[in-house]
Formats: sequence, structure tokens, C-alpha cells
Amino acid sequence: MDFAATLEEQLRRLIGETIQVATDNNLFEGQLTDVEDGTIELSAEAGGYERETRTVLIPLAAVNFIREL
Amino acid sequence: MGHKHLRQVAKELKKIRKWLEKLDLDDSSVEQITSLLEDIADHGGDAERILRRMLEEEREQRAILEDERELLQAILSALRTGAPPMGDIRDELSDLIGETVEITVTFGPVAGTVIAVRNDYVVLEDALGRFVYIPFASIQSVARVD
Repeated sequence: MDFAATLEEQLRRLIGETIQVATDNNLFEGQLTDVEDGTIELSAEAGGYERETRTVLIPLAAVNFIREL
Repeated sequence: MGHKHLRQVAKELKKIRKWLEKLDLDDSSVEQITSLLEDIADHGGDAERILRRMLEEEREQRAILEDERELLQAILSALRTGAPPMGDIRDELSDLIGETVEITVTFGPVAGTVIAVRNDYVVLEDALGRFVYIPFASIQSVARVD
């Protein structure tokens, strides 16, 4: 399996995929839409009955781990 | 070679030609000596061109070195303000490739097989075959699971 040299580069390869991102106190799940300047952008489904999506920006420095789903 | 210098050389050549004529040498010898002197003068020009080129190259090299020095300083200050070097944990994790580990981050423990270790992150494969990417900076502990 070929992985990029840095996490940021590797995440760029995963744009369009559904991932799970853990920070210190939160777990986000959604489609990875962008990776730029140390920040990742997720299109995550908001909880609740209405199925609306929201954009979540997470600094790479705040990431505990990222799981491909 | 500067114009002033060239004019001087031409003058000197003229003088030498006159002296040669006075020496009562035959025409072909005078021609030979004159062309020899002209060659020497030409090569002097070449040498000056080469020296100038060398000087220019040296200046270019200095500029490149200066750029590199600035770049290294920027990297150094970034390293000073950023995360500590991760060489050790990378080496340790590299030794664990193929092993099952439990890596603890602030969020909690993550278990899986170590698949790859890169510049700033490690890749695990969890029990369901999904890849998990963990940046070194967030790792609190690594435990080998037997």
C-alpha cells in the first residue's frame, strides 16, 4: 500500500472519501471535501431529525486520528 | 578586456613591429613574430573573460548560499516554535511494522496493526480492515498487543 510522505499529502488523496476525525473531545464523521494549509474540511451530517449537512473545518494540529470509513 | 587596455596593447604591438623592422629581419619572420604577439594578446583577452565569468559564477554561488541560509534559518525557527522532533517515536514505530499495537491519544485508545510509518504519521489497520492515520504529535503512548 502506498502512503504519502506527510499526513496532509495523504489526506489530499482521500478527498471525496468518507472519514472519521477524532480531536481531543470530539468525533466528526463526513465526506472530506478539502485539505489546505494545515486545515481539513469535512462535509458532515448534522445530528437530529433534519438531514442537513454542515461544513466543519478542523486544524490538522488538533487531529488525534483519522479513520477511513 | 577594457578598451583602454586594448588600445595600449595595439600601441605596444606597433612599437614592437617597428623594432623588429629595425633588426633587419626578413618579412616572413616579422609576420610570424607579430602574429605570435597578437595571439598572446588575444589569449590575454580570453583569460580575462574566463576570470570575469568565474567572478560572476562566484557571485551567483554566494547569492544561492545566502538564499539557502535564509531558508535553513526559517526551518530552524519553525522547528523551535513547532512540535519537538519526532525521530525517536518514528524509529520505534518502524520496528513495530506488522505488529498489533494500541496507540493512546487524548481521545482514547486506537488498536490495529502497524502498516506504515511516514514523516509525521503512522498508519494502522483496524480489526475491520480500515486504515487509521495517527499524527505523531498526538501520540501519548504505544503498547504492543500480544
